[in-house]
This record gives sequence, C-alpha cells and structure tokens, in this order.
Amino acid sequence: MSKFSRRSVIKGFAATTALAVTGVGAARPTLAAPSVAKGTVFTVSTWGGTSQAAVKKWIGEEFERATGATLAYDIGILGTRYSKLIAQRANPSADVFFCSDEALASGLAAGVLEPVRKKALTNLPEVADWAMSVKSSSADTVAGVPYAMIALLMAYNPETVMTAPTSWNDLWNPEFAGKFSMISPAHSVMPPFLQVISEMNGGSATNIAPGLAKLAQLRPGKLHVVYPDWAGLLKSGEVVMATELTSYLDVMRSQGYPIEYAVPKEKGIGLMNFVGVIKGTKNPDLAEYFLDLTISQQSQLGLASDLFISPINAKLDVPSDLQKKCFCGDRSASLRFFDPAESAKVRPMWTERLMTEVVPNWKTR
Amino acid sequence: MKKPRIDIAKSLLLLPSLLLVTVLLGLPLVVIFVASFQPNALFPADRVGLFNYGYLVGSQYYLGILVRTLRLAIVGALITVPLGYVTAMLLQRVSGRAANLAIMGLTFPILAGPLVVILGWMALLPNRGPIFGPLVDAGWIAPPDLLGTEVAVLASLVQFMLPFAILTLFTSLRQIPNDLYEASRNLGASALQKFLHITLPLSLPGVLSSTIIVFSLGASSYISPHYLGGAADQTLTTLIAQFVLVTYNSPMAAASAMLLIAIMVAVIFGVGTAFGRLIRP
Repeated sequence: MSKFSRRSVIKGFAATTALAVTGVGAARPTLAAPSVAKGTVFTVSTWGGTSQAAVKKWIGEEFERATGATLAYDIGILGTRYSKLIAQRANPSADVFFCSDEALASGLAAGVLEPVRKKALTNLPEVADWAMSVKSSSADTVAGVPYAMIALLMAYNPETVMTAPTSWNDLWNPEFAGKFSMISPAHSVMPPFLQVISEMNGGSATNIAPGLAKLAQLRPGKLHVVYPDWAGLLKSGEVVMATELTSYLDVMRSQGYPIEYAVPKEKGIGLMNFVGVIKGTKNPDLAEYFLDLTISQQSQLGLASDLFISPINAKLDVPSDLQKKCFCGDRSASLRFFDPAESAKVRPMWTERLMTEVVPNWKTR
Repeated sequence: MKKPRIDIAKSLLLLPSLLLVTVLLGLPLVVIFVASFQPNALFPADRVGLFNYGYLVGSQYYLGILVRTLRLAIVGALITVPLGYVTAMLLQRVSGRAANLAIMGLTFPILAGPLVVILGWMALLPNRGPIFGPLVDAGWIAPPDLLGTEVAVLASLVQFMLPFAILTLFTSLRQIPNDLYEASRNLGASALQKFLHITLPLSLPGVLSSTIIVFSLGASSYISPHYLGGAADQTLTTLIAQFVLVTYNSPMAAASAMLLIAIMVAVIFGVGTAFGRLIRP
C-alpha cells in the first residue's frame, strides 16, 4: 500500500474515531480492526510502571483496535531512553517518545525528534494554550503534543510537621536540616528551581550565583529522583519534608503514606509532559494518529485518573474528585511556568555548577 | 639455541577470539577515545582538543572523584583478598558435600547479581532498619547514618567481590601438590614454615589474579556507589552515568571513561609488576 493511501485511510479512521469518542464516557466505537496497519509493530518509548500501564489502557487499546497495528513498548527512565534516541538516530527503534517538555525541546534541537503536522491532529483545537509550552519552528506544525501537567511543590508529613511550609525559604529552616529530601540537582526541574532561588536572593535567570550560594547552605538529608527513593525514610520518620512532583505525591497518598503538599507563596514550578514523534520513524502516519488519540478527551480523562496528573484538554469536563487533585483551571495560577527550550539550553552548564559548587557542601544520602 | 616453532594451525584457532575482542572491545574503545576529544556543552569549541581531560584533572572536585574511586577499589581489594585467602584455606579443609554446599553458598551473591545484593543492603542499613533500628530504639547506640557513606559502599563491595576472590584463591591453593606438604612434614617444618615456604609463594599467582579481579570490580562498580553512596560522594562510574543520562554530554562521559580505564590499567600493571618479582618461575 502506498504511503499516500495509507495516510488517507488512517486519517479516515482518526476522524471516525474522533467523532465516535466525542462524548467522554460514551461507549467505545465498535469498528472492526482495519487491515491498514495489520502486521505493523508500533513502538512507544515511555516510562515504566503506572505510566506504561495507563498508556496501554487509555491509548494503546484504542490505537490497536482502530489501526490493526500492534504496540510494543520501550521502557525506561527518561535519561536512558533519550540517550538511546541519540545513539539510534540513524535507525530509530521506536516511533513516539514520552518525555518532559525540556527533553522535547532538546530532542527537536538535536534533530532526533520532529515536529508534527497540525492538520493531522484533529483534537489539537481542544488543547489548552498554556499547555503548548514547547514551540515549533513553523506555523503549520507543533513540537509534539502535551499530555499532562505536573508541578514541583513542597511535601510534608502532617503528623510531624505541625505548621505547613509556606515558602521555598522554609527549606532552610534549621528545624528541617537533615530531615528533608531534595529533588536531585541532576533532575530536569532543577534549572527552573535554581532560577527561582536565585531570584529570591537577588539574582536572575542570567545571574545564578546568588542561587548557587544559597543552595550551598541547604542541608538536605537525602537526594532523590523518584518518590520510592525517600518514601521509606518518610515512614521511618527520618524524612519529614521533601520537594516533590505532584503526580508522585498523589500516588504516595493513594498508597497510604502520611503526606500533604503545600504551594509556596513564590508559586510552584509547573512542568508539561509531552509525546513527540521520533525523527526517522517508519510509521509517521500511525505516529500522528497516536498523538491525536493521546490528547482526546477520553484518553486525557483516563490518564489523569490513573496517573494523578492534570489533563490538558480544555474541553474536558473534569470530575470533581479529580479537580481536587489537579491544578486545572484557576489553580494553575499558583504555578509558574518556564521556557523549556531555555531550560534545555542552560541545563548542562547549570547542572555542572550545581554538582561542583553546591552538592559537595551537602552531606546527603 | 633452537628457535621455538610457531604452529600456524594452532595460531589460527586464536583468530575468532582475537577478532571478537578487536571488534567488540577494541572498536568501541576507539570510538570512545575519539569522542573524548570532541567539543561539548561545557566546551563549545570548533575544534577537537584535550580540554575535556584538562577540565577533569584540573578540577579539585573531579580529582576528588578520581581519588575516591581509587580509594574504594584499593581498600576494597585490601580487605577482600586477605579475607578471601583465609576463607579459601578453610574451604580447602572442608570436603565432600559440605564443600559443595559452601561453594554454592559463596557464589549466591554472584548468581543473584549486584542489584539484588545492594537492595539487601538498602533494607538492612537504614537507622530504623532491622539491624540498627532495635539498637537505636533501645537507646544503646546513636543513629549510625551509614546509608550514603563510603563505609556502606565498601561493605557492599566487599560482600559482592568476596566470592570472586575466594573461588580464584581456592583453585590456586588446590593446585599446590600435596607431596610438598608431606615432604616438609617429614623434614620437621612447623605450620608457619609450611605456610611461608610452600603455601604463600605457590599461591601468589592466585593472589595476583584475585587482586586484579577484585580491584577491577571495585573500580568499575556502579550500582554500589549509586545506591549506597552519598550524593556528594560520586565515583568515576556514577559521574560517567551522569554525563550520559542526565546532561547528555557524551564527550565528557568518554573522557571520564578513558580516565577510568587508564587508572585501572596503570594499577593492574603496577600490581602485576610487583607480584611478578615475587612469583617464582
């Protein structure tokens, strides 16, 4: 089948499915599996665990049913998967890439991800403007599609911390010295965080020296990348506070950990997660269809419910229980967003400075 | 003197393994070596150069990492090899099924893999863990804060490397002919004399092998320092991972990797030369 005719068929199915799933919670369309992509293995590069399970359940099943293709998953932490993307740029083994906004910007700049045609994304008009944090170089394409908004906030154990923290400055409170877990300086959220701390201490986005000096005085007891790194210490009482992402905090709450979170008065740090198309994918049409499904109301509701993330589809009627957890609507005003492309640009040098000028002063686990 | 004749047919048998080593080890090494001179985000030059190496060895922070890597590997070897030697000697005296069981038990950490071993240590070492928790709660000891220290890394390294040392030394000790011990006993040698004049000299090749193996494992260990070490106590392996997985700086990762290889080769060469003088032909 020629590329053109295959694209047309997929477009047809995309449109049909989009129409069929317009009402959230409506019965799924009962289309027979088409043969257009039968025998094709479509590979999704994503995080493992709950992320993979939710992608499989809320996007994968519908995708396989509508296209006839079989999904395969390349699972791992973002750094590993991104390094793989770079190494396999001549012959990529995956088709679409779940990543942070900063990694999407890096991937586009490095030429391992490619922009997506707007006209192939039927659900794109429903995506909230604030979610499109990574810009494409041309007007008729988008960098990728956002699928979730998460935020870096201050978490604390309400059983031991009687007064909830109100400012990032509370991290320097001697009461918490050695008793809080800090997100790793190597994490992608650190450039915005460093900028915030710099600004709070007389610096700016171009003058991070005050932020580095202030952070060097911090006394975290533990550094973490993901919540299991410090969850055990929270239970044992060795950690009572942490800087952590909302999606993880809600997972911890659902697992019975004693955890609450507070939005600092300087605002939390908002981050967007995206799905991008891998440059050189052998299935460009399927990749576009996959992205379109990701931002549909049905997928967004499912992903938000299972992953405790804020949906990005502005037309979605978010149920009240989910509204309490997510930073949708007015609550997003309590977050501050940064330019991911700028973060990607400064991250290597800022991480280097954090690792060499700040971390040696920390006696952390 | 007659020149030894080279058996071409036998030499050809070496060809597959030589090719394998050249292609699978040599070529990647060449690629890494070339990459280590490339410009990157930290050094956005328009030419190749030694700047990555200069930056690594010229910085107090990175020199600290280098010294820490060496210290962990050397101290690890200094603890593991004597411990392994004593255990191998004791193991020699155990016979039959007991010996087999002991060897199986000793090799379990190898079978389980380093990650499982480290997860075990992560469960044992917290202040409120099963070892220290009851002691801390009873007020007998202050919280030891071992997780995130070099002591924790060293303890896990020794545990993981010990079976390698024991098995190497056990094989070496078993190769010493029993006749020598019988002859020395007939000549009235004491146990200490037998050890100093027979066991120790003849087991030196095994000691050399186990030292090289244990040192290499210690220097190239990633999982122990990553999970049990402190955030401020990086080693060359965790530094390489950071360059590859976090800042996507492959030229700096390549330079760090080449430094690690250079250090390992230098130490192994030094140890080999020193032992070589002691080993009787």
